Amino acid sequence: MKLLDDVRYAIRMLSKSPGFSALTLTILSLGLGASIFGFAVLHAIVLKPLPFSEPHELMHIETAILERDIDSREVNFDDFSDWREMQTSFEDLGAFYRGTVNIRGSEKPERYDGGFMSDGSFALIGGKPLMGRTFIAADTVFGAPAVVLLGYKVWQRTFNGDEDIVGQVLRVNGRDAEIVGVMPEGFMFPIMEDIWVPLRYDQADRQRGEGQSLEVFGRLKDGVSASQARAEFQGITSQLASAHPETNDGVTAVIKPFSDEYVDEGTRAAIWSMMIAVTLVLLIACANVANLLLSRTTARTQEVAIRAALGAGRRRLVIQMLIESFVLALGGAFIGLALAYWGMDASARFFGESGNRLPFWVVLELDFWSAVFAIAAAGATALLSGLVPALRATGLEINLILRENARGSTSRQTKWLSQSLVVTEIALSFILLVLAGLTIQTSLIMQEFDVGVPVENVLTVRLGLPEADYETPAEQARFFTELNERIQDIRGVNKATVSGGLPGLWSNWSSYLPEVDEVTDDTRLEGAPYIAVANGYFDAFETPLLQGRDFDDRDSAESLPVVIVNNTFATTVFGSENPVGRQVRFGSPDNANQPAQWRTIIGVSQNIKQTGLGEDEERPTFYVPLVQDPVRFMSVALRTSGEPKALAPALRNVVQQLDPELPLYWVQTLEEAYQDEIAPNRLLGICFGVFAVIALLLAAGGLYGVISFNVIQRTPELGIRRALGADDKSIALLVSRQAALQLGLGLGIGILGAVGASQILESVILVSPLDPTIYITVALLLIVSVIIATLVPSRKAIRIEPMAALRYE
Amino acid sequence: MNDNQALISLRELQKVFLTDEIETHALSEVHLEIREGEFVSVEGPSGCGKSTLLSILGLLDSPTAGEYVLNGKSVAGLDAGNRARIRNEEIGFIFQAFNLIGDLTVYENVELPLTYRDNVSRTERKSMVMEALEQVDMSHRIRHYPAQLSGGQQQRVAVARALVGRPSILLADEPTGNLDSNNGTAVMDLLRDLHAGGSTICMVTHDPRYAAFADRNVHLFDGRVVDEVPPQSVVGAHVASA
Ligand SMILES: Nc1ncnc2c1ncn2[C@@H]1O[C@H](COP(=O)(O)OP(=O)(O)O)[C@@H](O)[C@H]1O
Ligand SMILES: [Mg+2]
Repeated sequence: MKLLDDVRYAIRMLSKSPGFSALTLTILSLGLGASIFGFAVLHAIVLKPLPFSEPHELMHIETAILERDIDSREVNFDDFSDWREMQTSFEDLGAFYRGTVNIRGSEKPERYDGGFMSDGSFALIGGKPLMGRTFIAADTVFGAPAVVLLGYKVWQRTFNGDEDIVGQVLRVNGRDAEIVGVMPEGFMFPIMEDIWVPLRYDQADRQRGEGQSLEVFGRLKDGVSASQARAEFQGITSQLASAHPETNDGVTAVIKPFSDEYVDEGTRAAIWSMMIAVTLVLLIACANVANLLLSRTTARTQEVAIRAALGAGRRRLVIQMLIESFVLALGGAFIGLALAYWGMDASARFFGESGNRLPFWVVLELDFWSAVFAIAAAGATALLSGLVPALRATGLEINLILRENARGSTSRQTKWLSQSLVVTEIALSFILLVLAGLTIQTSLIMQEFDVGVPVENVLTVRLGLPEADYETPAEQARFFTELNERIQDIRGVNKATVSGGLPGLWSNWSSYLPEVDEVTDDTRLEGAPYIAVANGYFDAFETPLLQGRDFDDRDSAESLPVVIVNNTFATTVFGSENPVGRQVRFGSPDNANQPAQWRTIIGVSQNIKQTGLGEDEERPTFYVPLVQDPVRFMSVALRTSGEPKALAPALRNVVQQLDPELPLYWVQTLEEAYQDEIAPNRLLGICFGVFAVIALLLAAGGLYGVISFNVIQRTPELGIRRALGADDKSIALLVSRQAALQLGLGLGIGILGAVGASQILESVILVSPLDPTIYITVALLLIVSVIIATLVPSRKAIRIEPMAALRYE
Repeated sequence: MNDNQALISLRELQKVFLTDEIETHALSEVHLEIREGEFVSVEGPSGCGKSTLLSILGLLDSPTAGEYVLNGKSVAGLDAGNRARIRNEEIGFIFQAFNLIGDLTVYENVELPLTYRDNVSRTERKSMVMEALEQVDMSHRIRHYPAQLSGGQQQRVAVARALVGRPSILLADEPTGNLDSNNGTAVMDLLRDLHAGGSTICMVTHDPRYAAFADRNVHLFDGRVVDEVPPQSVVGAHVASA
């Protein structure tokens, strides 16, 4: 009950100084809001256990060929089956790959992200169907009747939650498949899948190692550790290496927790750096509040001294003052939760609208743990900001306070404390502003990135031909060639093309060797973008050929294999020589998937950045005619005179005429595609920008508060100095010298801190973590803020009337 | 004749404070001359305008009307910078509440006025500070902070600070007001010694015992000079009326 009394008393004391309480509450709300938001993101994406039963037992397994510097490679079907049979560490192994699943129920065709799953996979992760069953071994046999497992969303959306859905037949990737089950709401294994089909391989005409590669995972048996499993797999992989040297020589297994695979290192780094940023914001807020409490303490020394004289013990006084801090911090946490809720909601919407997909278990919402964190952070904040002022307030010599007549002497320690707090704030702000500068600069670089082609007024869509309907390369080539011809005639289209990938977004890769090189066993092959394009591609993207000719009707599946190379390749390999007529060799000697092939160069194109936005390096890039090397998945680009999106229905019509079952997906303008691509970086930049603004305001405000308070405290002293002949300049200097010293110290410490902290962003940013422009800009920004924060108090100090200051008797 | 030249001369001096539309006539038609080497005491009841007078003399405040000539020059048109310079070079203040700066040591407190001058070197400063401290017999406490000194010692340090810059005049506003009689007498002895050494002093007090140290005694009442007499007769008058 005593506690309740104390709380009541604390609230009364706080409501007696509403200005102080409101200011403190605002600062704490901002600091705690930012950190709750940061924690919630960290928890949702990185910390939260995966939504599978006993997730820590799940391991991800892939291969490595250390001799060739390959440390992460997906697993081929044969290795997977052999491992599954030989191993004893895991209860079972599962495998999957993710791909397009086109379905046609009653209405128009639709395209979904689908999982191609081995039969044991569902049992391993504890995924139980809402109705029906998951896959059994018989489903994965090549040639067995086709089956499909629906996700909750598909079931609801396409079949209106039909209770009798199991057993019905659905057109899946061009085949009739029986619906064997429906998975419960929220189950979207492995990332964001809506539908699942069994993993199948045509064993008849397949060499070892060929075919779609897989992600493999397993559940450790009780009592078996990950390192024991690694030891066992060392044995297994070396056994396989001696049994199949041509495919498995040097191939080892890499085993790591399943969760490590699905949030990549860049995302982790970005999120951890955000956590650092919000921690900095919170610390700055703490320093601010500590300072406010310190000045309040000084104002309250009389009260405290009297209470102490009346017999209140120090412990009791400290606790009483700490309770005030706790009340404030809890209030701040409450408002902070609201702010964080709003922030999470805005981020989730931003992310959702961008079409980026986070793994299904990542839900950008506040949950129970956010509330726990909020309370814990509030407690830490209260202690951090309240303890020192409380100890200071209660540790003073009562005697001195009650008969103090030498001015300023008791507050010397307090002053020192508040000044080091300001130094801390400046240092922390510097670190935070540098991190913000780096991420914002990165998102600007991406925003402004020039892929080398005009990107305005381009409509793009993606199409994926089902293997069942388009078995041979010839069929695939025929479809896309036909499509390429028809889209030219759509009204409103200036130019149009079909290609394996879009500039700046994605492309296929191939290893290559220019003809000048000798191929030996040791030859390291390099990879480069390798893009199948329709005739007229370069014209459509307004990229002139520098030499030679474009692909045309002379190029066919049977004619001479040809390639157009980009300028970088031409100049690095052939210098000033004309490369037309020379040859490039594609495919690697030891990859059975991709037999080596020589192609003759017929042209040189200007450079287009094909890989990533922000990718600085000029890479060799190859274009081949789609008739000679078709892929099943291609993009269509329409350059329009009007609003590009308006042509989507016409394009859909054209596709429908060619294949009524083929869905169009990723229907967006090229600019939208870029916006989506950089959305995560923009979001990061926005978050850091918001944190930086908060930090800057808090730091400048804190500095202003401390200096102002100082001036008030020093009023008599300044009066004395005036009487002794100090002029305006020396008074202003006196007041600002301190700020300058604090600024210098703060910047020094801040620079060291920023050099350290920015390293974590290295994998996320496109500038050097030590970018001097950013450091200098941040330093200037802080200097200006300090000057502004000092200006008003200095002027106040200059205006102090010496007589008023001295009239204390 | 140098002795008789007026160091300070006030003519028809008037000071009006305006607060919340209330006019306070703190000083009205004050005529006063202080000659070089003189020791003048100003007496009068609380609120009669003594401190106001001193602050105007010290250029901490400006009169509402009237003329103030210091060292033969009118101070009326001076800008803030020049007023600060004159305060620093011509005037030494001693306050009732000592007004030492708590964060500075005894040495630094005394040095303070000299730091506001451009033409005094460090070594010069040091010898001036030590000389002043020796004059008040505080040179053994240079590293102490004010809070570590007794009231009498603090006031002696304040006196040292007032005279370190060799001002034309020392202005003391009830310098003994916060001291017991022993310490008070010691400070007054100090002022008398300084006067004997040639210093010009203007001191506010309402203790007749200390007023007796002065050459001349100015009585203020309600902002006006009501009497200007040699001190002995004043003491006599007080004794008589007591
Ligand atoms: N800054 C001021 N504003 C308004 N009135 C003042 C101010 N300073 C002094 N006074 C008034 O002027 C009168 C003289 O004050 P003061 O010179 O301090 O008296 P003394 O020092 O003789 O006690 C008093 O009535 C006082 O209230
Ligand atoms: Mg007075």
